[in-house]
Amino acid sequence: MYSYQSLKRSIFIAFCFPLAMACKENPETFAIHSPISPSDTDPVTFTLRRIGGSVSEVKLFESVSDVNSAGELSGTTAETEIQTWNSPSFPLTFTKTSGYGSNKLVTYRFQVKGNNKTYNHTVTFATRPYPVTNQAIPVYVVGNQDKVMNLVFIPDTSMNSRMDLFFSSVGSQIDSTFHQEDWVRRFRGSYNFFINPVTAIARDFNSGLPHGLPSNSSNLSFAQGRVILHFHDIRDQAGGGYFSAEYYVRGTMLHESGHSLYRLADEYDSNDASHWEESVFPNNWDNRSDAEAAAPSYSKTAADVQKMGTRDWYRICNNLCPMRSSGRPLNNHDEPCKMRILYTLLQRASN
Amino acid sequence: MKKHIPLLIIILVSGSFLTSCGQEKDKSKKEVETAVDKIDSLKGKFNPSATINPSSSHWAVHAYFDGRQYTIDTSFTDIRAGKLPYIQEEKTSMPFAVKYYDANGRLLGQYSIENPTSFRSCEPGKEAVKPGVISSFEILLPAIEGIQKVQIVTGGKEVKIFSLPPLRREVKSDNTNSKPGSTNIN
Ligand SMILES: [Zn+2]
Repeated sequence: MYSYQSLKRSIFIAFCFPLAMACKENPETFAIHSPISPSDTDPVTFTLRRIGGSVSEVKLFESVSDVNSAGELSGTTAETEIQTWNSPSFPLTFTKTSGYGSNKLVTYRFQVKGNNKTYNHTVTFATRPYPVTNQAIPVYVVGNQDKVMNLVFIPDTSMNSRMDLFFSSVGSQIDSTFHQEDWVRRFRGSYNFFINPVTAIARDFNSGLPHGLPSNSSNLSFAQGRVILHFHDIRDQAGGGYFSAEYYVRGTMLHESGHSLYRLADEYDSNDASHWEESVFPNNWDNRSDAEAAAPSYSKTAADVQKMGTRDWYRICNNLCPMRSSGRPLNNHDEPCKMRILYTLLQRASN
Repeated sequence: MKKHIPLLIIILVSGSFLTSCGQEKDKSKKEVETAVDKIDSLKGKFNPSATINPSSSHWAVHAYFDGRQYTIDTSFTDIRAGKLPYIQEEKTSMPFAVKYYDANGRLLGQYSIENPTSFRSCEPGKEAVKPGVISSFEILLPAIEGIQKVQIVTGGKEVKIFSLPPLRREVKSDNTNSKPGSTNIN
């Protein structure tokens, strides 16, 4: 295990050997398209929003490929610049009024310049119908499935007659949950989002029955997160690698993706909660002294250590930690969870 | 396993220096920029292909739990696209650990997950877990050569050990749509 003492030593060394690093603010932005899963004829609007920093120029490029039933690409067009913004005023939007056609994989790239830095948001999505049989449909993908976190949104059968609501909910969840939480949204290259082409059955925890898995579940085992979005008023549950959520809730999405993507443990006060201590960057500790020793690494003190329930489980995060609550509201992650998230994203990208 | 640690230290280091600049607010921004740049350099491209790539695939083995004992159906083995979705651990920490060994009993890797036979609901003040109620589940393994034995450990105790049949890389991903209760939305 990597000790907090070692971490603190590294930080101390950093003070002894200061780096010639400019103390300036770089631009931070995030990108999305709408509708998230367009049909062949749907106009598509691309949006870039700013979190902070100064942006001097933004360019938007696109490239389109044909995709066949085996997922093979052909006829990929050269990347074309479709819009430029000088001295932009945010949010930036551009609408492609003609649809992209069927069996297409579209890649767009926002090139953002500011503070002598240039970076890119490169996002790929498929048009509907997606021809790759029984595979999760990419609706917002940014990297190789083996290198980033993959989350599949699955429609519950209650969404059968409300598929437009399902598609718009997926877009909202990406934009209002993953692009809303302060820490998570900055990792633009870390999350692939998919829609499953077949339904599942979300079941009430109190029924004692597990979720009914989708028929193509064997094609979804590559994903770290699989969420069944539903229209019911049920007590949501997680099991067998699937969790359920009402289509509109943000807090549950953040809490459960905390479990499934980063292995964050629960932080609420219940003896029945899911507690464990990760060997690297935990957010639960099984004894108070270890938690107190870890606290300074997170700019916390021993006074921030709180016991959870009556058993020996301890946390350092503040009371608003998303792993401490669930449901509708969305709060920001605190330092221990942030370090755990960073660790898992780097681990995923590095291996 | 520990290759990420130096980067995390660099992130903390750069953040610490910025704090010394008196720009506390910029600290986390610099931390994030360093990490995001690193991830951007590693993330690669999305691959839509449904074809199994032997260097990037994982095994699934069917397992059953009758409330007391685990049974493994090694006649069913499925190879699937994508690397094992779980993080490899030096020390497993979650309730259900899967450890795999070569013919000489050498540990090739291990990971841990929530108990796949249970489901839970995160709601403070209410019953949170239905233990041991899922009777059928899958055990995933990396599609690498040499895995001979697989051990399941729960609560720190071995509850099952089984042999894995030789790897069959020619098996394709499952494209059937035969389970009842599912509707194709595409
Ligand atoms: Zn939880």
